[in-house]
Amino acid sequence: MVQTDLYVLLSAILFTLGVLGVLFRKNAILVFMSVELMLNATNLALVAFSRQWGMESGHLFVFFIITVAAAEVAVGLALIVAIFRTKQSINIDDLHQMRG
Amino acid sequence: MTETVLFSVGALIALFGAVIMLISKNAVHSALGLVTTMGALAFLFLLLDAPFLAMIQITVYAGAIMVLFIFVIMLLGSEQIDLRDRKFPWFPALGVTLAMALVLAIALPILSNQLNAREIPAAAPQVRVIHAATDVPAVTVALDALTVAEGLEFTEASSFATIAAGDYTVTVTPEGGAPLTTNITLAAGTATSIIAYGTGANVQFGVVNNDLSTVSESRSSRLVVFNAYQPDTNISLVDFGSEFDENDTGTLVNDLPYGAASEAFYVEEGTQDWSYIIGAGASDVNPELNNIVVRTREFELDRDQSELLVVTARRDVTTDTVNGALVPVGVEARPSFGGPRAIGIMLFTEYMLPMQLLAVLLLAAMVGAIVLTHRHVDTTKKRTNVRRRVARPLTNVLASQVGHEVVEDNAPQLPATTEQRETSGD
Repeated sequence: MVQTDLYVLLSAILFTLGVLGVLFRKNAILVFMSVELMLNATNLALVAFSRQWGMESGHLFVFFIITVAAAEVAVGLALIVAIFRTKQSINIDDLHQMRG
Repeated sequence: MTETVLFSVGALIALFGAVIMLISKNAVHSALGLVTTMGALAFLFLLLDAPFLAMIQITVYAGAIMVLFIFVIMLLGSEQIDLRDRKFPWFPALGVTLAMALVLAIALPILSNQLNAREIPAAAPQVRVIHAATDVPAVTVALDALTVAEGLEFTEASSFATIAAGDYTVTVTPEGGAPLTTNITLAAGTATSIIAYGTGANVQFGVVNNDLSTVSESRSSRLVVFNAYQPDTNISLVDFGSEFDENDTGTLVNDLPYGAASEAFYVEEGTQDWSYIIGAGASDVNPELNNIVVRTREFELDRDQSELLVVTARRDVTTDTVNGALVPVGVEARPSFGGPRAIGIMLFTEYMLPMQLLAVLLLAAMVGAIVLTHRHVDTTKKRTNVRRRVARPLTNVLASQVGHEVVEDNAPQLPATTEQRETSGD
């Protein structure tokens, strides 16, 4: 049985890759995708700990996180489409003003 | 060993997908990299005993969410945006340094091996009492000072009570009778049934350890038979099968002594026609013989149960004879870890309120997405501005075309009434 720490380490690395994506990518959609990667990394850690402790609460939380991520993506992509319509760009460097 | 290899493969694919997502210039390639990562994570979920979440991961994440992403990328035509940052050339170095620090911070407890050092506490023991003693009125049962059942009638069973592990004195007090005691030891993580059997004058206690773990056989239940019928009488549990076939008699429990519990055995769900007979069960048992203690012609057996079948004797007060009686005590076995049944049970019991809140959140998100995309974007505003510029004094138009100011008093002017706004888009 692979120990929990390997899963948590993988989760940490994936999370960091997500952070790097948020920091470096200029495309707003890519930033969103990086956030999704971070959520996935936390899910992996939750499931790994859930198995270690033999409790299913972790699975429930992963279920909730997936649901919230779905809601977040729906609203976020709608926002990106709305921004694109007014600004004709989704480069986050062009989106430094709150004014539409 | 195999799991280590599978984990390594899954982890490598996940990391590969994440790196592809991070460095590829084309947004569609990034999306495909993320799909790869999500698929690999679903595979890792399978390794982690979470089959339900693995399926959810594939359908919701790799399916629904990624389709949404790719759709928006295609819709906006924003596949390629330059990666380089010209304003802050020092930023990548700082970012990578901070990211390394983050990995190190998360890895510190792992490197110091604190995650696996924790002991997992075992569940508290559970105990229940079954009243199967003939000629004994309702009883009150107490473990030390804790009353676990009150007014427990013959053939009734109390529900499981959770109690701390340790040694206990069980006190059973029949109504208007002297208390009877026995000592038991409850270990952590066990479920114990205390069966009071015998007759009014001579009540004995049987202790059966119930196995409530997941029933591994599909659509089956785990059964244990306890013989509390009559002293010095062995019983067997047989299935006579069809009445027209002499040779299809099956023996489920053979020659069970008085006061003993059988080994656990597994039977598929369905309606069972079982007979509890005196003596050893054999293939040539004739169902017409009068050695049948109890016959349950329509015994409904559900799946995933842990059943305890106590065969006891009931006194018929009118004829003053003793007949066999069956006390089936069923309790649901633990659902398989991480399966849809387990998740569903938790969702609809412990996590009912969060689930409802989440449903409201999803509804709000749906409405929000519709409102955001349907909002009337005022594209006419800019166009009106363009038209207006034409409607300004002609000198300004000429000035903008010639490149320098044209100031003449008698320059032709457009009449003010020509100002018009265009309302439609094109």
